[in-house]
Amino acid sequence: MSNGKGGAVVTGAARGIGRELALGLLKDGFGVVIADVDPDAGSKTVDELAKEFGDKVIFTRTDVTKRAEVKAAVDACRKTFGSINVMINNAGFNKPEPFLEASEDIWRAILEVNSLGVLIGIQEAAKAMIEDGVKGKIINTASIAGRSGFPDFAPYSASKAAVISLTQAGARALADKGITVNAFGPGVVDTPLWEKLDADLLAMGASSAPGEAMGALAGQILLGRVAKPADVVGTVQFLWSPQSDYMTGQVVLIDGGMILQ
Amino acid sequence: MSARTGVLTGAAGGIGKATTERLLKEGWSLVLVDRDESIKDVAASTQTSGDQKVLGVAADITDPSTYGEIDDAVAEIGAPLKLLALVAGVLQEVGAIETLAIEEWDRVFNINLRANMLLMKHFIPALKAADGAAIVTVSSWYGKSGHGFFGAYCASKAGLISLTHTAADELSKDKIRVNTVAPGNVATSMHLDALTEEAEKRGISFEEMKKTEWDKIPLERAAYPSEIADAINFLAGPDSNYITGATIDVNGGCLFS
Repeated sequence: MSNGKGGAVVTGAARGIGRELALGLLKDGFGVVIADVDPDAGSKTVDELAKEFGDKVIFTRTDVTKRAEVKAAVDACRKTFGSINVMINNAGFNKPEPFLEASEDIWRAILEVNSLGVLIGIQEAAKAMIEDGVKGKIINTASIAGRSGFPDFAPYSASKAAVISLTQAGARALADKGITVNAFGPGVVDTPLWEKLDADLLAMGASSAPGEAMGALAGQILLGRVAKPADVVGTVQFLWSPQSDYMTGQVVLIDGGMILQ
Repeated sequence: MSARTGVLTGAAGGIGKATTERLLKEGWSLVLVDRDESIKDVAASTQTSGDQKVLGVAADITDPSTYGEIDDAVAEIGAPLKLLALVAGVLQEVGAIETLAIEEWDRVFNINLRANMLLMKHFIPALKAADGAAIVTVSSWYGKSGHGFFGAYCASKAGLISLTHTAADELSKDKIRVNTVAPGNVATSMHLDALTEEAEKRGISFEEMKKTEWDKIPLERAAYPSEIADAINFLAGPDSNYITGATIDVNGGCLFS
C-alpha cells in the first residue's frame, strides 16, 4: 500500500451514515472494510465504491452481536490493508413503540445491536491495535437520543446512552495504549433508519401523514433542516484525523442545534 | 475560497498564536486583537500568502469604545467578516469564595463573560451581513464543573457556555453558527502560572502540583495550543456546517460530560 493511511472498519456501512463515512475514509486514503449484516446491500455498496477506489474497499458480512464475526472483519482489515487504524462502530437500528407498550423483545434486540455491538467492536478493534502497536482511533455512533430520552423510542434512547458510557469507559481503559475513543451524536438525519422510523411512527398513529414525524422534529432544529448523511462526515473526519489527538471520551453532537449542552 | 476576514481576540496568547497560524493556513485574513501593544508586532511577523492580510489592534475588550479600531481594521482588509473567534480570557487569583475579593470576581467576569457578550453584540450586524458566518468561543472544562479556589473562573466559563447556546439559538436564522471549544489543561503560560500559584496555595512544589493535575488526565499530558487551534478551526470552517450550539471538549479525557 503506497501512501495510504492504513485500514478502517465501518460497521453498518452498507447504507446511510456508515456508507458516507466509508466514502470519506476512502477519499482520505484509507482502505475500508464495509462490515454489514446485509450481504446484498453491502456487496452492492462495495461494487459502487470500487468503481472509484478499486481494491481499497472490501465487504465482510458482519453481525456486530457476534464476536467472531466482528473479529473476522477486523482481521480482514489487517490482512488486506496492513493494520486497523480506525474503527467506526456505527451499526444500529430503531423500532419505535409507545412508551407504555415498549416490549422486552424490542428492548433486547436494540440493546444487543446498538450497545453490545459497540462494546464488542471497541474490544476487538482495540485488541488488534494493541497487538500491532497502532495508536488507533475508535469512533462510535451515538445520537441525540443518548443525551435526551424520546418517549416513542425508549430502548433506542437507552441504547445510545449506553454507547456514550461505553465511549467513556473505553477511553479510560485504552488511553495508556495511545488509543482514543470518541463518539458523534447525529440529530435527525435523512437516512433509511429515519425513513423507516417515520413510516413506523405513522403506522403507530403517532403521526398522520408521511414525513410529518420527521418534519415535526425538523421544526425544532435551529438550522431549520434535517441533516444529510454527508453533514456528519466532516465531524467524523475531524475525529479520525490527528487534529483531534487530544480528545478522548467525548461526544460531538452534529444536530443542527437541537440539544444545546 | 474567496476572501474572508476573522476577528480573533486574545491573539497574543498561546492559544491565540496557534489559532492565528492555523487560520492563516486555511486562507483567512485576520484582525488580531489583544490588550498588549505587542500585538502589532505579532501581526507584522505572521506568514501570509497571496492577498491575505493580518492587522493587529491593541484594544481593551471590556471597553466597547475601543472597538472602533477593530472595525477600522476589518474595513481596511475589505473582505466580509465571517468569523468572530473569542479566545481572550483570564484566570483568577486562586482563592476560596470566603476570601474572594469582589473586585477580582468582577475583573474575571468582565473579561471572560461580559466582554464576549459586548463583542458579539457589536459584531453581529457585520456577521449577519456576511451571509454565512461563525462565532467560536473558548470556554473551559472548568465551565462544565466547579472546582475549589476557582469560583469566579468556573462560573464565568459556565456563563460563557450558556451565552454560546443563547447566541446559537438567536442567530441560526441569520446563518451564523455559534459553538464553543472547551479545553482542559493547555500547556500555555496561563496554565503553568496557575499551577505555580495553586502549588503555593497548597504548600506543595510545582512538580507535585503538575503531577496531581496531569495524573487526572487519561492522556497524561496537557494539550498543545495547536490542538485547541485545530478545534477552533474546525468550528470556523465548512466541516462543521451542521453544528451549532455545541461544545467540542478538547481535554485529554479529564472530564466526560
